Amino acid sequence: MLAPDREKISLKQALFLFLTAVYTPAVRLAANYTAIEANHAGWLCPLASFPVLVILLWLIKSIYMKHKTASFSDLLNIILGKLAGKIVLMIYIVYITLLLALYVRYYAERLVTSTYPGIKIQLFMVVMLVMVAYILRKGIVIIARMNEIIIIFLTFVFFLLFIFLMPEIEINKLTPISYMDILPVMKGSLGITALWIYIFFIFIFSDRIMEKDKVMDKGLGISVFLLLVTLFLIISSIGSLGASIISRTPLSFYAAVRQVKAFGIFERLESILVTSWVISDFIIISVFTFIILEMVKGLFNLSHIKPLINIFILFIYVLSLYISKNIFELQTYSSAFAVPANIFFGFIFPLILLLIGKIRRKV
Amino acid sequence: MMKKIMRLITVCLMIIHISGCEKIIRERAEIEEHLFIRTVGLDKADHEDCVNMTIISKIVEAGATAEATRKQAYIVTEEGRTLFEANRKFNAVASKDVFWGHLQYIIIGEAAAKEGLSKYLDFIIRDHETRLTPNVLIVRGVTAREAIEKINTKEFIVSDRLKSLFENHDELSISEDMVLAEIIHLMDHDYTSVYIPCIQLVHRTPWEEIMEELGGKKEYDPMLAGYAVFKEGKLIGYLTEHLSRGLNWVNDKVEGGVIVVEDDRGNQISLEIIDAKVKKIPKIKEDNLSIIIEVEMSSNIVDYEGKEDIFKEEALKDLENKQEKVISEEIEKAIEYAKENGVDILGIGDAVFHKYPVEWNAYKDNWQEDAFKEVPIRVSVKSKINRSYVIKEAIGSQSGVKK
Repeated sequence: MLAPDREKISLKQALFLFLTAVYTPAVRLAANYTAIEANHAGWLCPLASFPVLVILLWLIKSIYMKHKTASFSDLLNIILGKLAGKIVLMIYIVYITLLLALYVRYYAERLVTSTYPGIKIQLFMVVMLVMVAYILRKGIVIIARMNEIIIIFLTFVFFLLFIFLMPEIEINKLTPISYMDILPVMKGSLGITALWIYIFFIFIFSDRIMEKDKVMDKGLGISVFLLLVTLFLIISSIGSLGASIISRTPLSFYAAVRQVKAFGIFERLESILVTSWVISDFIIISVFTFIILEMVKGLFNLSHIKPLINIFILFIYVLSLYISKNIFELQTYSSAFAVPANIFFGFIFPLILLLIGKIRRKV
Repeated sequence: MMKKIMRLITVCLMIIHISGCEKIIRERAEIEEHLFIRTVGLDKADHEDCVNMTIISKIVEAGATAEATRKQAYIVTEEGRTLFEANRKFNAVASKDVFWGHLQYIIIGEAAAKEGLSKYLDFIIRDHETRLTPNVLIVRGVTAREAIEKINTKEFIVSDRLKSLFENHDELSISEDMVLAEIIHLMDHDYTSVYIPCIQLVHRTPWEEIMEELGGKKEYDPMLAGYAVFKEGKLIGYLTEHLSRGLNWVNDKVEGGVIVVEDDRGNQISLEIIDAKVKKIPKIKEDNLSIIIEVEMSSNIVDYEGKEDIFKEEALKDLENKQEKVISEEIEKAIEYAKENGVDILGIGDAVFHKYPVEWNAYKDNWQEDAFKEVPIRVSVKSKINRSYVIKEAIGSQSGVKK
């Protein structure tokens, strides 16, 4: 399981990191966003997003094919030239930092909304960020290995909850489907695409990922798995509570899981879900912090990221606190800004990068 | 050194986080400090724009033996401008922290239901402790507080009595148990109207009257009394007995029940409904919408007061026809009620939307007030009598004996 090079992770480990990172926003956003845009047909949105994910895998393969040991910052320098490369890298650092602050805040807000309403969010944020600062010192290899265990737990929890939710699903709440749903489904798929593009963000530290040439083969398997999980997640949420309720709750899958009353014995399983999303939050926050620090390292030609960890974590803590006044602002920021910006930085820009690379014969 | 300090800070924070420091983690409370609410009653208060909230919780005082263990109901009412305000006032009187996570029944008084459902349900839907699984019911003719007090007995508290009541709802199929999520779902769509199971208080144990004369408490039984019907979120009337079963037929919610028919000589026969399947089939022909309600059901003969041989093919066919007529009439009455009041409680709009999602656009605006009232609905019932039970021929008929 351990990659031969002690500083590098295998492609499989990288893809697993992507799956875990997607889990937490998917639980929050996927069913809610698709229900708002596509109503009862929201469950079709992942199908519309799937081709984008496949194209993205091809993009990653094409961009990194010639430069297997290059990081994203190296690649920007190669394709765009040093100055433009540094400017773009800086924009990426700013954007992913904002995204990271959003996730730190969301993690705390979700706990306060669902489980601990009387507690200050600062407490949760401090606990999480201290843990992240600690684990980051161990390096990405440790995080990736830890994630190999976490992903098993998350998969088990998700499918367990899905099985228990199955009796609650009503086909009536997922139908009818007609040609009139095509446009809403396309709109709804933007929310899913905005999450799935994180696969590109993972490859920002591509110099630490081995076997990148197999990204299409291994990535396709992971993509199909992700498609199924997202489909199940939306079907179980909209199918059990209906699109009208799901579109109004900021914690859509959580709201659906709260309905579980399997065999009259198993209920109140949302505590398992809360545990799983906190673990997933830990991974996404750790990975995004690592990505940003790696980019900072590339920007200033540093040899290590360790000295930056504490100061950056402190900065993220402050930024998370001031990024929005309340959860309503956070949600608006998420849907109005983060969704289109994610698609730009995770899909459109890589496409432009490939085009420029091809024109300049750099990739 | 730095590593050690970091580890120390992490461990300290984890200890605070896991085991709890009461000042920081205010929500942390021991289980015995919670007052678990099973049933809540919601009423309109006497003061303008105020609400009453009545909570009932089971308090068990453990004894050395099962007999010595005492169960007691804790009932308290608070008034507030909002339900949340009333809820917070409980903490001033209750010795424990009110916990909503185990709420099973929401009883809404008639006056509150007439005022509008949204006002009374929002807090329960929004609160982080409650779920969307509690059963909702309307209490006919009285306030929720009154109902809770009258239903509650020394032996059984309200939630126990309601539980057994709803567990047996399929015996008559005049009502059903509806959870909060279903009601929100109905409220959310313009093309459906809300109907909620209702209960009525009945006082029918003469022994209790004697007890009352001797100073005891007069006790009442809750009875499932069909449905309360809402228009634009406000109570407009009730569907009782056959009318409510008519509604259940259309919505495919009949699981059991009794149909009483007569033989040629006027002797009554009880038929027990065994199974039923209902389809609502919308049809659009030349821009004209029509609905067919197809019922397929079967029953068993369980009670006959005559002595005739009703098991011959002809007699059975005749009983089946009479059974079909009873069902048709029940359904038609429910349709008539719905159309008269402009409330699509029958799920007709939903059926049209699901079969003709594109054509539905022509009907969806003002569906309940316009198109629904005009749409022709035909009822088709096919029934079958399966069997009788241990005895076939009636007592004294002699028809089973060879002479």
